[in-house]
Amino acid sequence: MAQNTLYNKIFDLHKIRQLPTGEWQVAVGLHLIHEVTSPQAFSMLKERGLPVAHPELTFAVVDHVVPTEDLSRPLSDPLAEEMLQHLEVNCHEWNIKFFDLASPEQGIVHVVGPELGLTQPGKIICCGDSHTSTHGALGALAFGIGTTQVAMVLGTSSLALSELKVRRIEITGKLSKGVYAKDVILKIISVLGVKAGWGYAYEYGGSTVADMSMAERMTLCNMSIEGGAICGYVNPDQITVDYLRGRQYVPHDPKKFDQLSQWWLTLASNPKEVKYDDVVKFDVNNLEPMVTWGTNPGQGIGISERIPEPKTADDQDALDYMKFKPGEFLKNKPVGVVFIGSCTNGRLEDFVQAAQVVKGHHVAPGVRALVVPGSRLVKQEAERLGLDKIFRVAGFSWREPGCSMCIAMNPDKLIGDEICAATSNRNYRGRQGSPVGRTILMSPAMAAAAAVAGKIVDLRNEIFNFY
Amino acid sequence: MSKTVTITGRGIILPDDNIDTDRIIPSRFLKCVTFDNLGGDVLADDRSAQRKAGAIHPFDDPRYHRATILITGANFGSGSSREHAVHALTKWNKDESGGIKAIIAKGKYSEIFFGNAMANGLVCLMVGARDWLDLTEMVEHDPQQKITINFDKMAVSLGQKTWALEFQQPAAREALLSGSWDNLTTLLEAKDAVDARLTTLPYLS
Repeated sequence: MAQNTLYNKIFDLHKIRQLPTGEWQVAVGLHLIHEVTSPQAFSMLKERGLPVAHPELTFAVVDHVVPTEDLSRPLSDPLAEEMLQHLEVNCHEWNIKFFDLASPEQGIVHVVGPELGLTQPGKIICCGDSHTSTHGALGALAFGIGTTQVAMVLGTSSLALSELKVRRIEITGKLSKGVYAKDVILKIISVLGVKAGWGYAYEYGGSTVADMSMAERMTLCNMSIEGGAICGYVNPDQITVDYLRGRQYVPHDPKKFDQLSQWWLTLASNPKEVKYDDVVKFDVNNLEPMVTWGTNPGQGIGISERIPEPKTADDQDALDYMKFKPGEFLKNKPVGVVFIGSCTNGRLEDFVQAAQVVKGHHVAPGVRALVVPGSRLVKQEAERLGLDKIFRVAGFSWREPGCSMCIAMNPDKLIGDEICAATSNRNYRGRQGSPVGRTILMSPAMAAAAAVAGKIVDLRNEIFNFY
Repeated sequence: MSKTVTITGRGIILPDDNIDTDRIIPSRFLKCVTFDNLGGDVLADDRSAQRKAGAIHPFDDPRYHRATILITGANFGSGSSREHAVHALTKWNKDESGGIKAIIAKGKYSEIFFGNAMANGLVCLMVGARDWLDLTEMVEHDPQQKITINFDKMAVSLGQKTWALEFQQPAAREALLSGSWDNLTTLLEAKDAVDARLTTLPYLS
């Protein structure tokens, strides 16, 4: 088993005792909850007459069902309203801080946690949502849990966990212009596959990651689960410390902050003493923008590549569903919808990159294009920079923050077998709300280019403002 | 939770690998505050696609109507951590058959799904690839035959045949046989130790 990695250090720090099953009871330092996976957990507690053990370590958001056009209450969808009300009542009853629809901090749980500084290095963070791996970007151990486990964390601030192995993913090289963290993670999953991460935490490192901003690191860690790893992380460094300084939930006393950040830096895997269970290396010098052709996030190719011959029945099913043929290029495939947002790519930098491409252009006729900020703070900052105007003038719809068309639990849905150029994380069948809808995953800049062109393009070759 | 030694029931087959949680229960059905009514919409989009193609999905096929043991491919339950997928399966045809009680796959399950399923009494097992083919053929041939899963012997049998079973986590068998899968009770035993630890964590002190 791995030794002296950040994973091992944080796991050991939170270990309480070994259980008869061989698993460890592990303390949980931050519990994030939302409206989809928590109501049943609160009911489970209530059935047993148990209180919430640590409301002060529990924070709630509403994100999945948020209608991104009209936030007035009651929400137009009575089921969404009911879910929201359950969360309100549960948070009120247990004195849990809830960033509700009216709150200036509202947004997608995986955008809100880091930007408020709730997410910090060294924490064990859980949420009933598989993209909780996002928070690993700040050097936390963060992973998604099921609703029964949400009840366990609510009731005990602890979980039963098996210790994971650690795979170091060493990424070196300089990303070309037009190539982003999203392309790096789509490449990694396309090479390693969607099951390679079973039983592992992924540690992302190397010169490319060292140069990445926090937003890029979050994109990388977000999709760890798409590679099968419930947890992915980047070792904390000066970029992490600088990102967190001054945020709402970190110590505001400079001396206290310095003390805490010194501790954060000691958690990083030390190359001199570290042992991994596996190491894989990626050179991204020649990486090109990535796009997916199938119905799982591992079915991705470079934009200049042809759709591969199916190797499995699963590949063939994916091609049938997407109505694509092996040997075709994805380039020039017409798109009906463009979605820029989600916990993968819903941060300020993502919208800056997309706006750079869009500026001075217009969405192609017949294309519905949505920009959905990951949080109210992201939205506010984007508006301060005038990005909303760039998008609006270009014909994009500029929305209220939420999960939106990544999962389509709100009114934002594909219709029929529309093709959507999406910056989200899953191209599963039916994921975007239409049982036959088709999703092509890509970076925000590539999705913006697709909106302008009305088809999938290689943004490096097109005459956008980008160059 | 009571001790479980055997599960007996009829089989139903979904041969695909990588059936993700969004296929098991599409996201538009997740707008609920209890898990009670998810059974009817299990695999809704796959089923309607089959209907449109003039075919019949196993979950609509009367031959499999009273099945309680699902036989499927590898990487079952990949994707989201939503427990809704588990409940959609366990509540399918609940009144008539009691829902899906066990799954036999030809490879590992997605880890979060495995944990969610076991925590809710949906037992996730694996058999070898060749055995999986044998089992599938026999069930297809006669879906009325009863399959018996025995956790003591870690075997599944159908008619005269018996195959070895495996758990992807050895702790799972122990928990089933001892009836100690209820982690909440177990975790509560050490509540004081957890509280004490929380006060010493550098980021909370």
